[in-house]
Amino acid sequence: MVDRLTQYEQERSPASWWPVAGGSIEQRSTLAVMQRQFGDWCAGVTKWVIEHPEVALTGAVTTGVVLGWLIKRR
Amino acid sequence: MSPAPETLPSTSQVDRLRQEMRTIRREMGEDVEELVEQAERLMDWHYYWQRYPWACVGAATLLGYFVVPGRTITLPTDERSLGKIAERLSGEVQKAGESKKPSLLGSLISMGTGMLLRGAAAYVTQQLGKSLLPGSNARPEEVHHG
Repeated sequence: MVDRLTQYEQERSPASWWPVAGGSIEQRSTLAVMQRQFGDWCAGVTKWVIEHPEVALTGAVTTGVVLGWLIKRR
Repeated sequence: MSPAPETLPSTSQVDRLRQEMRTIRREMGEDVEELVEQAERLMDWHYYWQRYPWACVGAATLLGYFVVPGRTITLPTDERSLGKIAERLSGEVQKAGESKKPSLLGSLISMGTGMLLRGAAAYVTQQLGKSLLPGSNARPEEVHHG
């Protein structure tokens, strides 16, 4: 699996942000799946979400609270 | 009698058994360490965040959505507001009672309609009686008095 992942990264990841050297196996495989199915842009956003979990978690909860406030309280 | 030589383990066999037990103990320790590391990794939320980032984002958004409580409707309980509500309700009740009082034209129409319906019912009854009992329409027989 790691060999296939490395081969995919060498073939399909010319982008400079791609974590070929760094990153765990889970992160690299998740990014490879996102890039293959949804493209570079989605993989880039996913990489940011993975690398900043606290910020992304806070942002997601805040978005939910704002949506809930707008839908339920207005 | 001396014991048979094959029942006692030789020195080489004892050493081999000891070596095997040492290997088993070392491998067991490594397995336990690996198990503990895996359990710690599974307990860490960063692991799930790396494996399923968008599912975690969706779950966090849903959590934030459901944390917000629904709007509560509060009814006024002070005397002034309750008095206003009572006045408004009594006005509505009066209006409803006035609108239900029949007018002169309405009562005339309903009376005429009732009369028409009663006449029609009597006519229909009469016609039905004639058609069902044909003998009743015949002239009464003359009674001959002797």
